[in-house]
Amino acid sequence: MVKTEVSGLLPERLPEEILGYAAPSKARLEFRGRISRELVEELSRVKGEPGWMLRLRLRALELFEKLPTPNWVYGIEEIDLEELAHYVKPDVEEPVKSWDDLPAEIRKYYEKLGIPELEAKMLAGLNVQFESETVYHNVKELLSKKGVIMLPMDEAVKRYPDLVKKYFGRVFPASDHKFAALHYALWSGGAFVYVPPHVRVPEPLEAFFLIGRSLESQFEHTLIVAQEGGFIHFVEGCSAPMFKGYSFHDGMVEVYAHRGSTVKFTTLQNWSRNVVNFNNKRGIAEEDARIDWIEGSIGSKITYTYPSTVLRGARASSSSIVVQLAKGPYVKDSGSKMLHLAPYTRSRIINKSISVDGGVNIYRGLVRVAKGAKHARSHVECQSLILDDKSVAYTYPHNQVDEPTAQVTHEATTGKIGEEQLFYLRQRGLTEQEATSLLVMGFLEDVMADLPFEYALVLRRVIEVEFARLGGVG
Amino acid sequence: MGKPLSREELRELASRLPYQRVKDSPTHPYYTDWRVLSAAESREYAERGVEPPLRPGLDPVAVLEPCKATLNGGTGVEVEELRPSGEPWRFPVEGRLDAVHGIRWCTGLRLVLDGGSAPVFLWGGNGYSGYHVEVRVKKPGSRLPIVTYTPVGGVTTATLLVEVEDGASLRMSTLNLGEGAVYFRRLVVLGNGSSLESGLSVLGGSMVHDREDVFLEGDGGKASTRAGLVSVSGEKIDSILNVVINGKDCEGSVRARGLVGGSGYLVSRGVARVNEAARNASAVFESYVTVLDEGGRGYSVPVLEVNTGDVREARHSTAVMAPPADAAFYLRQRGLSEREARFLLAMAVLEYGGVPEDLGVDSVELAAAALGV
Repeated sequence: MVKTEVSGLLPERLPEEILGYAAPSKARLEFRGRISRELVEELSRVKGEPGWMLRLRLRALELFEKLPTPNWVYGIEEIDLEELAHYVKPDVEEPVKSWDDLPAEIRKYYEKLGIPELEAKMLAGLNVQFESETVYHNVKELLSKKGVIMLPMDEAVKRYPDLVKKYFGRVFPASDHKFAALHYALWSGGAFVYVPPHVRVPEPLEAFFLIGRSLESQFEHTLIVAQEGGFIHFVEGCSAPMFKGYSFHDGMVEVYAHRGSTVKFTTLQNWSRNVVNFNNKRGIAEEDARIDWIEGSIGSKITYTYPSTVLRGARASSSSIVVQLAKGPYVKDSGSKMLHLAPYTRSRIINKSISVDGGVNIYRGLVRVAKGAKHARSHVECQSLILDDKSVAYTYPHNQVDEPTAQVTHEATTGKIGEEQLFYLRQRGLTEQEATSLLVMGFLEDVMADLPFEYALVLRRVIEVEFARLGGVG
Repeated sequence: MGKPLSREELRELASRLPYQRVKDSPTHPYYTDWRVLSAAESREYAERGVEPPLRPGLDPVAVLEPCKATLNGGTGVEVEELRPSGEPWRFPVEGRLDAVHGIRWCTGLRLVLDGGSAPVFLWGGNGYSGYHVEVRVKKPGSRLPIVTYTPVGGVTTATLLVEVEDGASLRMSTLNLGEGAVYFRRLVVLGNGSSLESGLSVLGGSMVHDREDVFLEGDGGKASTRAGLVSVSGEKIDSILNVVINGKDCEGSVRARGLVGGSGYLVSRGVARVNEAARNASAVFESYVTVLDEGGRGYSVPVLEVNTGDVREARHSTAVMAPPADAAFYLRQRGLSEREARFLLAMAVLEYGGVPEDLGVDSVELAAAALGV
């Protein structure tokens, strides 16, 4: 491997192995059991929220109770919400600005993953969440000088109520589905980012989420608003140690890109094999705005995630690039949605999946061009690589065009590693393992090119480590 | 194919089942307008079949009309009338309308093809018409041309069950002339080393739900479906073309071309599925839909399900778009008016599956019928 200044950050093991088994950590407060009005009111009270947020939570609770459980969601029946802790406040009163101020049992998780080093080397701001609350939050002075706001979501609700109220829940409404409603009723943590007009944030901002115990739910809410001409790259990472039982993640990301702004949102999902991951992501792009979703989805027991963009303004554009790895018996159910509502909008979806050792990869996508979205263009590409007989890959795309000047194209292939390709490489002296490694990494290479260099290296290394034990890659 | 069902079981299912169990998409819960087709439950039987204005140039071995079958016979073909009886219903029941059809169909046919050609016409009437056809293909070179027509105001449900024996081959050409409400399901099961070439031309109607399921059960089977679909103002088509591969070394492909004119509505969808036992299989689904006018809606849903890593090829590609600008320019440059260019486009789409040639239908007349000119 090429030595770089970040090579010291590259993991030699999977994040969950690096984190080891979950160590007991003290909780100051915990809500568990039946999800009721009383529970939601108590959660809002301990957070000291304004009345409008409590009303929003209660409306969401009503919706949660009314909406049906989606019947196409594989494995959702495994989740027993009543046995989960819906809110866990770790033993940290307020978010700290120095890693040394964190309790040792929490700090060690982040140190093992190299998060402090990553922050020092390349981040403009970092928000770290443990269980249900932000425990560490630090933003470089440069951002404040430019007027950029990055705050833990809970704090933003209190400090900038008018600004938050204007966008919170407006991009991804609680009524969308049962688990969106559940999220709004119980949300806690996450980050709020506001980019003023014509401000470009040169370095990425990151939020890192960690679930530290079993039978816990995490409902963080991230809201990003980029004003006219703004630019921001936001990265979210997630991980968990190994534990018995399971935990449930039902997070949400809302992005509002005003005229001419650009928001890049990168996710490196590395939950341990105990986490059922339901991740809701949606953005609205106004005139000439751009939203790019990039996702490396490696860990978790089951993942459901469908990054979506509503292209509401003329010439708005969006891309969604997903790399996912399903190693049996785990399931990745993902896809992207692009809703073209205005003329000359553009979208591109690239989904690359690898199924191995009985893994299940599912792509579920939607491209919708509404009447009046003249000359809209969209292209979808799904490529699946199946590395053995036990693994499977499914593709369920919907392309709906109500506008005759629009153009929507879709291509998908599913296949195994070509015998001819293997033969070619073996002939040149590579072992079968080396040849397979090269072909798998080559399969992902064009997606990696869209990731920031350091994150591409980390993702590449995690995939190599994941495959090394299968004797295929690395 | 599922468990055979008695009439009592069908009645129970017809009262309990929804039209479809799972919604199709978050934006369009149902691609088929079941409100139109639900008339099949309550409409009185049509008194007689109505012949379409466009007559195929083939002599039929059988003409089915509401509660009336006219059998003519042919070379290399055995023909027998089939009537609803106490026999268990073998066609798969997936939704309410399948159960209703199992109870209500009243005219049927059983064919055995020994290498011959058996043109069959299904003429719907002004009320409800229900048909069921069973075909066993025993030898290579067999041909099954089918034409179905339902006049405006009529509602037809039809099922076709085809079993292609080991080593046999079938060329099936289906012309669905639409106009009224049509629910037409075809199920083809192929044995070892057998093959199917299916050509399909579908014209829109008040709601045309046209579905073909091809199962490659034996090893070394080949199935290819080519469909041309045209829906113009006020018409709706939901076309579903599925290919499921269970045998080794099989090839299955579906290729559809669609055209939407005026405020037409066309959904071209299907599943290419390679199951675990299907080693070294090839599955392809292609769908290209052209939307010509404001108000037209063209949707494509190509599903790919691969349940094994030992797959030779599995791919799909789709496009929904306006006619390419260079094609329009090419035609206009040669002096064709826009109307003539549209006509040519409709002809090309309807000829795509080779159906007009197989049925002796004039492509110009067929395109005129499709465009309503």
